[in-house]
Amino acid sequence: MNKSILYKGCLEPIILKLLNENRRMYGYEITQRVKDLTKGELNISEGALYPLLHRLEAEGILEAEMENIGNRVRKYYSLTKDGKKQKSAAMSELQNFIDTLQLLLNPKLA
Amino acid sequence: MLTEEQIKTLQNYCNAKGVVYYDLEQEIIDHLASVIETEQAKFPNKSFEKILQTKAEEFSADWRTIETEKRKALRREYLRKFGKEFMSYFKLPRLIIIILSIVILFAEILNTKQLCYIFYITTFLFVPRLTKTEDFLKYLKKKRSNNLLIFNILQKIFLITTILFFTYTFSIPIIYKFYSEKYGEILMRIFLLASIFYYSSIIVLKTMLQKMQIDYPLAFQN
Repeated sequence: MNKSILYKGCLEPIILKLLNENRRMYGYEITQRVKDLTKGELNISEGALYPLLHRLEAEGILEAEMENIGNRVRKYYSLTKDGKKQKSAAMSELQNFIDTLQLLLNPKLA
Repeated sequence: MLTEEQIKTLQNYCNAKGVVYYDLEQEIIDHLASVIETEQAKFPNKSFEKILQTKAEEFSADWRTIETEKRKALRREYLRKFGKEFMSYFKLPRLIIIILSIVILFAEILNTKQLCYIFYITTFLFVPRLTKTEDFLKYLKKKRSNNLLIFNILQKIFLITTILFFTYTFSIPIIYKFYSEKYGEILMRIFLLASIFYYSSIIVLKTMLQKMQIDYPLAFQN
């Protein structure tokens, strides 16, 4: 089974958690941090990352600020006040999802 | 750090691949440049061109999706902000003015002639002032050296809302005079709601335009 399909639904809480821990991050930095943390297991594609970042920005969960770095502009994303609330909700939803999977896959442990 | 010339190459590459909007292009260029810089750090002997060829090919397949989704996201952002602005009229202290206006407009206090006067005064004097149209148009007309996706969307929204609002406004006297005085009067009474709709739309468009100019000052340089 394609791993990326399994991880797709978890991208939002992952990004919100990372931004909560790092205050602000840019697109490429997020992909690299996820890759490092998961030891190369999870590679977020640009086609999945940027639409999600733009959607979260449109919903007021993230805010963006531009910064000139030498000869180019970098867009940094950070959590808004609503985003911080959303992060907690998304994390607890993800935990529920993991618990449910645990019930299905390993009933004894659950 | 990539050189000015290399950044220009990335820009040309993006344009050749159909990325024509400056706001989207900047984010893609930064991503691409970061990928190339990381690769160069790992393999110092690899040339910029070679890395670009392999890495950009993988990434560019997603660019169309990114643009389509960004369009949807910007429309959603406008609608969310518009909804918030519109609903703010139904909260204190603005709510008091709304209630007073509704009482005046619907409690048969005014006769048709007075209602017509209020309608025309509101249309031609207060609405343009309230919306600060001139100020807004200044933002809209400001010269840009680059195309911005957000500007493209805001411009379309402005055109649609303005056409709808003024079609409604100018059809009222026609309906009143040539079709039905009763319907004309009803349309005049609910004109307040239409004005708040249009006013909210302009305020949100203006806020988003202002933010756009702060975020992308280089796009406005000649």
